[in-house]
Amino acid sequence: MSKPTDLVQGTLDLLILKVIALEPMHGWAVAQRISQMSNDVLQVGQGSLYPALHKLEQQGWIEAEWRDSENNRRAKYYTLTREGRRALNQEAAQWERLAAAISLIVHHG
Amino acid sequence: MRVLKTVRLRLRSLFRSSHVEDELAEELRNHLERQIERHRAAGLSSGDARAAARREFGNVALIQEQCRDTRGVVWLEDFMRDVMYALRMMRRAPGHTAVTALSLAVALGANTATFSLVNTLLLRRLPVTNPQELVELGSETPNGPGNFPYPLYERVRDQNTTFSHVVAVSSPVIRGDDDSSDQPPLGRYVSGNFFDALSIRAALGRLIGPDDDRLDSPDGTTVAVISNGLWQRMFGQESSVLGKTLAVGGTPARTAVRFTIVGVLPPEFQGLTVGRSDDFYVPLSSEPRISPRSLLNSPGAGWLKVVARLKAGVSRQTAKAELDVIYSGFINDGAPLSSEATRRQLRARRMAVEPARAGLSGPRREFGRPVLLLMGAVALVLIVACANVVNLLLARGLARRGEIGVRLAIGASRGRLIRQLLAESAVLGLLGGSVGLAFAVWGTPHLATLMANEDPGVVYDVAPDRTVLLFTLVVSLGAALATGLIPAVRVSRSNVPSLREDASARDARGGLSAWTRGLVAFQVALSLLLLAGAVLLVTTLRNLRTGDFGFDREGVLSMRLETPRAGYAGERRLAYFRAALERTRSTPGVRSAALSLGMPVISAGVDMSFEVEGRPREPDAIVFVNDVTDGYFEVTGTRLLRGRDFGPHDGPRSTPVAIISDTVAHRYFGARDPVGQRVGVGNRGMLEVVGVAATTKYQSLRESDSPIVYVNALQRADASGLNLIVKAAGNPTSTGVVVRRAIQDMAPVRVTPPLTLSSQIDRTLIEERLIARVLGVFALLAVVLAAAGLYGVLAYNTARRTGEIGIRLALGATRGAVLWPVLAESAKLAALGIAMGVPAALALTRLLSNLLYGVAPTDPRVLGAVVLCLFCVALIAALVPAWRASRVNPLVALRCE
Repeated sequence: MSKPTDLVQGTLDLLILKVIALEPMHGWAVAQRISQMSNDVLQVGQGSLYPALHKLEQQGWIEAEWRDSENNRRAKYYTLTREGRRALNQEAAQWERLAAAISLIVHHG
Repeated sequence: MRVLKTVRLRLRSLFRSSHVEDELAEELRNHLERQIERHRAAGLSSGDARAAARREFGNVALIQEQCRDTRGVVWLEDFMRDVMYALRMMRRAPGHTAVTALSLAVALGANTATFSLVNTLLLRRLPVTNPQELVELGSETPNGPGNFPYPLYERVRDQNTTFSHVVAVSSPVIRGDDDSSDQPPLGRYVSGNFFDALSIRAALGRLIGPDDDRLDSPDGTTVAVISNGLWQRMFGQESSVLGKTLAVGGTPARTAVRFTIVGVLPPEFQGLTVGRSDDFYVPLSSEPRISPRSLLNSPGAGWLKVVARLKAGVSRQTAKAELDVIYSGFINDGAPLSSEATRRQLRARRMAVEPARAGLSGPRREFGRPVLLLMGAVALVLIVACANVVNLLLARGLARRGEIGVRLAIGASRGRLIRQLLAESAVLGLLGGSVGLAFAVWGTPHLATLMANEDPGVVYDVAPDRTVLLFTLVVSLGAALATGLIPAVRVSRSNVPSLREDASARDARGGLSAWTRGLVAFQVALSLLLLAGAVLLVTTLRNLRTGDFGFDREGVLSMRLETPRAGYAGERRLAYFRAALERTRSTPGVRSAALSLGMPVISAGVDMSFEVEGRPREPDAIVFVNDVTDGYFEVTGTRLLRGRDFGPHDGPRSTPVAIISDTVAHRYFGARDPVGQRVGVGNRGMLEVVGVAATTKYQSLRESDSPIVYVNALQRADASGLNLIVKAAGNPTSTGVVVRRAIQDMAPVRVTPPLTLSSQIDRTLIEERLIARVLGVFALLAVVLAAAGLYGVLAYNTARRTGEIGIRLALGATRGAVLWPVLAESAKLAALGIAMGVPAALALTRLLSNLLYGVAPTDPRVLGAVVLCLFCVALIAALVPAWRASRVNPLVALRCE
């Protein structure tokens, strides 16, 4: 039950929610999009991604659905629920506050 | 919504787990393939791309495991798996499982049945709003709050400040007349505020209200409310019942008063007394219309049960203090009492305020203690059964040591193992509990019938309700977990190397574990305790049934003759009784007959002052008085020591005569001959003593000898009813029927069905009978369970030592030499148990001492018999294992090694 060590705890949820908020997508695409959007700074390992996705699904923040993807392959697509959207806003605000606080300390003096 | 969705997801992962797992696997495979494609697009060869993707991906199984954990149903899944596993293990050892579950079921069934009684008598609340506010009022007596006279009830109702309502209900029942049924409806008088105060609503029509109960409007009072049960029984649940009439209280029927039915009670309300369901209620103000001598204005006649609702925040102590003040005011100025002595006696009384949330205290007082005693006894039975389960689980755990060792070796945690073993016990417990519940549902009505004491009017509703079901569930699971914990912890402690230990090494350690020996001995000790209690009670019952109490009860029967009010005054009544007596004596099958006002032990107990003519009266000279006719001593078999019996010549105009008991003669006349002396007895006046009768028990079988004065019943015409007692030559029951018909043919007099004296006396022994019988059954259960435990342990031990026994036989040991150790082992275990049980029995049977008669709680004969019995049981339990040990075939046994 290892926790994602490459990301601040809890931020992975935020990133996933944010990415899925753009459009419904499957697990692989989520990982790709995160690394893409962060200019390859953030790499999400599969070992963290799928447990996180399943946890968000259990919490009712995202929903999953099997759909045919681009090349006629079935994939599990995740969609943000209304509750997930609310959670995203909260998490984002929380993150802003935290980031601002940390940068205050780091840049102090 | 979200909760719903989560629940749906969890349920899905729980029950369609294979489906969920497949989906996850497919999702991960999907991911892997995309990654491979990406690498190939970047120019890697197909093999390299696959390898790179796999490398990046890491441990698939681990990811799957982590996803499973996030689903949050692991413990539940594990539990389900444990339960399934437990069921599989049980299927593999069906005999063992059946025996264990059955011991538990029997014990749990007995516990549930007994608890049903506790629940009905002590726990169940009245079906009214805020039952906890209800209290029962009355004078303090050893038998609970005494009855109220009506004027005192009025005074308390009007003067108190601590109750929001004070209601009254008559203690004696009134009979309704129902021609179609041989079970006449029984009802009670209630005060007008009764239903309103208890906030009971009518199921149909209206209930009795204050306007129906006005002493000043004699015409408006003949209304009745009937119970739901009577509505169904007598009126077929028709709504047209309203306006119909119910005839009440007439013997014979033409003098009955007709009451108009105005309402039907809801089914859940059956009255204020547990076990008694009242069929109808009429207003108190109608009492003068039914009773020949109304009690409404009598300040001394207690006939009402009074129940009140405490105001919010008022304690029972406060209410009692106020009640005492109201009561002494009543004694001092309210009551025109017959004498100053009565006033003094009444003034000494104190009032009691007792909780009535479960109804009136009568049955609670009668059976509360016996039932709690039985509850304690049945708990011991459960412990005996649990010890069996522990031993069986220990034995099985030992057999499964290999399996458990493997599981520990490959990394199962001890907690996980214990949890799994406990799941097995829980399944066992629930199995036992549900079978036990079925036993209880079958058995409890028998207990209730026993408690109802052959009175058709008493019906205890012991159907299992929520409380009982909860009790069974909690006790079953509790027993299962308690019994499972010791074996589970012990087994999970087996260390990994024990895997390598082979069978012979285990045998070399020999013998039974201290746990097992201790448990079996403990079972024997508990059985001894229960058996000793049961034997003491059974001995008591036998002593009470067959002891010499100064009168015969075999072949004696009685029925009560009740003359009507009209046409039987004064000497006409005496003439009727004389004629009835002569008629009875001439009936075939009657050896002798007499009339008697009281019946020894059954309905005795008028006490009166006593004095000897020419001597100053001693203030505490009290005797019991019974009015009897000639022939009484012949029928009861009581010996006349001196003088003569009453005779037909002792008529209303001749000298009033009396016969005194030996106790009275000794106390007041010493060595002098009392015959011919004159004595004064209460309101019976001065009487000439004509004989002395042997002493008999009179008030109860347990009393020391009562002083009795027999007065000639046919010299005074006081009593409208007398008991006709008959000594039958042959079968008393058939004689009774013939006599009753003969009497009924003579005149329109009410004659109760004949009952034998022994059956009536048996009824007074209800407490002893209940405890003796039920404790007897419990003791038997405990002994059987202990024997099964002993047998199981010995059989297991013999089976385990087959190899060793084989070697010994091969080396020349005789069959006897291998048989004896098994018997000796059994005797040793029994002796250990007896050594524990005897001191416990000596200490605990004291609890029974006030129930016992003619036997001491520590009677060595009783304990000796119990010990002997247990040794026999131990021997019998050992027979089969011992025989099996002696039949071991050395060749087969050695080959098995």
